[in-house]
Amino acid sequence: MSKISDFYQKSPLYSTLALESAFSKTKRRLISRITELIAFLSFILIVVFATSIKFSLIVKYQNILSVSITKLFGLFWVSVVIYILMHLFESYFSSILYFQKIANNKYRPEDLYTFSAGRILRRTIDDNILTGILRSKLGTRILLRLDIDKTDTNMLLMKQSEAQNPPVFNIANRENVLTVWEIFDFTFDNYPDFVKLLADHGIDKKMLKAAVDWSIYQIEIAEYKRQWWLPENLNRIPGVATDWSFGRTYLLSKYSREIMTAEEVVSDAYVFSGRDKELSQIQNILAKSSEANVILTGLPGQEKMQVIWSLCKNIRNRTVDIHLLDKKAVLFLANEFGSACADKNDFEIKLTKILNEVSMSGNVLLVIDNLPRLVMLAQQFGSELSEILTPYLVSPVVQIIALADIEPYHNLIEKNQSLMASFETIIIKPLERDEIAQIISREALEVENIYGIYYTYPAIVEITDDADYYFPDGVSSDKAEDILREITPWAKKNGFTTIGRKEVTKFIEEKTGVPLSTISLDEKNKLLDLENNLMKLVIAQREAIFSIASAIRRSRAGIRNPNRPIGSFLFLGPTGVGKTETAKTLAEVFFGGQKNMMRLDMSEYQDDNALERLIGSFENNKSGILADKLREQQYGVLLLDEFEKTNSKVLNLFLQILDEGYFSDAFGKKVNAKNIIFIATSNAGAEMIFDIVSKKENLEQAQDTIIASIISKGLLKPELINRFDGTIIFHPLNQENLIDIAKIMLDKLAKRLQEKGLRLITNGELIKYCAEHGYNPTFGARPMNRLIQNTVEENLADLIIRNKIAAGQSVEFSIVGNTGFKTDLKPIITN
Amino acid sequence: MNIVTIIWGYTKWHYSQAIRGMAKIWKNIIVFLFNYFSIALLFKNFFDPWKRMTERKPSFFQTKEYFTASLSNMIMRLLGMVLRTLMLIIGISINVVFVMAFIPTLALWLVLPFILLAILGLGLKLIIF
Repeated sequence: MSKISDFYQKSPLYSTLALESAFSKTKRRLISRITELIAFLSFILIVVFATSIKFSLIVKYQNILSVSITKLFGLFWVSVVIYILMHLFESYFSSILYFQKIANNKYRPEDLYTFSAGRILRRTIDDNILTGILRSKLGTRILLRLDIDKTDTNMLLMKQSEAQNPPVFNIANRENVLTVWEIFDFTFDNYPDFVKLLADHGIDKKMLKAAVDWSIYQIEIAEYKRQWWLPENLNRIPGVATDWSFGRTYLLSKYSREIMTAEEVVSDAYVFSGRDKELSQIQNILAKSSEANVILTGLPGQEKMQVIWSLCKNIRNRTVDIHLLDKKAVLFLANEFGSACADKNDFEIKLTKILNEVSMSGNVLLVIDNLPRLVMLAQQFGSELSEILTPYLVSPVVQIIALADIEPYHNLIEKNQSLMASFETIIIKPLERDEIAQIISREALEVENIYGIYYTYPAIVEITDDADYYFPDGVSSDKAEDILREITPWAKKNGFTTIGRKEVTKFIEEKTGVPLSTISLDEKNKLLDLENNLMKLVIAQREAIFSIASAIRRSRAGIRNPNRPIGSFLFLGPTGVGKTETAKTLAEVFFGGQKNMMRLDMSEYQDDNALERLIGSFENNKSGILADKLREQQYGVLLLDEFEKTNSKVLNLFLQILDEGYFSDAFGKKVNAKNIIFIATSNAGAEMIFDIVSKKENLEQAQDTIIASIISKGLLKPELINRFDGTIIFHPLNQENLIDIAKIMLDKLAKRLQEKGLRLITNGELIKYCAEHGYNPTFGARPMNRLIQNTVEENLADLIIRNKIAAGQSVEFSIVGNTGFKTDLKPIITN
Repeated sequence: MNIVTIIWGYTKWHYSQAIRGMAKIWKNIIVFLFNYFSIALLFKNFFDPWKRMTERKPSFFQTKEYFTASLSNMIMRLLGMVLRTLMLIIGISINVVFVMAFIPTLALWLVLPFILLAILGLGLKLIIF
């Protein structure tokens, strides 16, 4: 006998596992149903036959009928016995599985292994523990959670049949019971094939451990829920006469919501964990004889409310301290209350009345949803909130839990000493990534039951990570839960039965517009050909284009630093040399249109309140332009024109954005800039560039000198210039470049005319004319657009209005003057 | 797969852990019924007015109002006491019945394997003979 098999049979759990193997749950249920049916049918037949004998309905077969009745009675009793036996076996199995073991992890050392580990040991062949994993239902279930399907596991299993001398799994002289994780841990450390299989699916040891824990939790929770007789399960049934001894709160109910009956408290689909410390702190404070009041403060979001829901769940399940047992938590809505108050008098009378009701009721635990809001309302009405609240706050019969976002807490509450004296503050810290993943995985099990959809663990990790990365505003656990709740109906609608990593990225991509999934063929071509496509539209600035294209490719290949913007470039050069055009073209070529380009003229942000206009103002309750723009569109190009002209505070803001990929607005909310390409343009150093070019020196070699001169003039700080991924010098345009630009502009016009059925023939003469008159040493090629409008377009408009040209005809211009006005051009119309 | 192992394991469970388990379930249900009928709460607040509905008593010298308020408060207390008494009688009775039911249930549990064997024998006899 093999060592593992010997070890497996030595445990007292063996008999139960043997029963499970011989009489699996499915078999037990099937037998139970069949015997139930047989018993029912035989009973009906007995009644029918007995009736026919009694009333002599079928005289001829009386004897046969009476014999049949006897046999049917026999069948009935045998079925009943088997039916009861199946139920007894079921109880036997559940009871051992549950009472002593799984529920509370009450394994004794002599049990040798846990039930789940035993299930893997049972399927192990020739002491090769990997076969146990691959052959057992539990093992394959765990691997399926990691998105590793049967085909892969079967392949690996086939390989194992040829394996000689498998790694020795040491089971002798153990002090603790063997767990499933120990089996997986050993396998991970000793079976390279297994590690390779996991690595192929992007799974590391940490994820494997989480998936094992998740699967075991699923078994435990299913067992737990079956035990209807547990105090927690029984206590879900609301009692009678609980409110007979407590007063009613008529006015409070107008401006409040019941929490005890909220979906989040009643339903199992909401899991709150990782808050034991805060819950015990709250209970300790509420147990005080007076001033038993708490302020829960934390980041904006649902985390504070989650602690309240969690507390209410415990009150409902009667797992709280005795003084909270019959309490009823009520959520007082400060905003609704405020809007119902007419003036100071009304505000004070109503609030006092509500507090009197709470005091009289005897069981109300008052939760104020937004204490800073209430303070502000009181201020608006010219009332002092602490004066109204204090008599109640110090009373032993009133208990208040007030919620406050951290920023307004610091600004409004903390400074108010009289209010602070009666409250104790608990800061709700955001949950860690692993804690969030655990909550999401547990909630996913409930969602799976409701929607019939299957979640893999990589999907859970992706949801947790993406929630934080793509939605930086708010609390991670809230956002991850929101994604979980939104993605399931979305997946159902799109016909997915399993939600894996791919499905999550697809969903996030749809939601944010940021491409995350694998690069498509079309996109691949776009990426590889980015330089050429850009150069078709932007003339002459090769270096700039190459730097940008490579930054974008790095980003889409997933090798860029995820905690910084996709790219950030400082474009230096004279006006009208294509800096803005490059940014526009990039938005057009890669981000799919100029709608993905945002633009800020930084010369408008020179004054002292420039920063306030960009990030918003808490005092004036106004949001900021930059914050709004980036919230509306978190993927694209942000062009910062005349960057050096803004004030130093704004420059410092960009120092942070370029470094960390986010900033906090005036309300303390994070704004994501990680999926943005920043292009700052500046014509600082333009004169020097002209000089260098006129001396025919190499511009690329002079880059450091140009930057040094900008720094020495104090236009931009060196640390800011260093934050950019690249500083690109745009050189002034020469005659050749101008000809190319004229060609592109006229081609664009020709394209527009084509839509009207007209053909514009762009001859060399016209191109040369535009290049000559459309250039200005100060503004570069910028006047060219205006020139084309004033000459070519004006002439065309005349022709169209005078009906001198019709669809299907072509027009060509010959140059007859040299003034830069429309009379310089003479149209020649051909059919 | 050893049938003897299963039967032995089951029998051991039936006469030891199962009984302990049954007692535990019984205890849970009794506690639940106790809470369900709010027995402790009703005792604790036995003399309280019905849903704390009381009128504020005016000064003793406003004799009429004072006595009206006192009478009304007394009625509320009486109403509360009557209803609580009724609920307590119902709750305690159900609890007592449930506690008593444990003994016959336990007895049935102890003899259940024999009863099942007997019924099985009877059933097979009826089918075969």
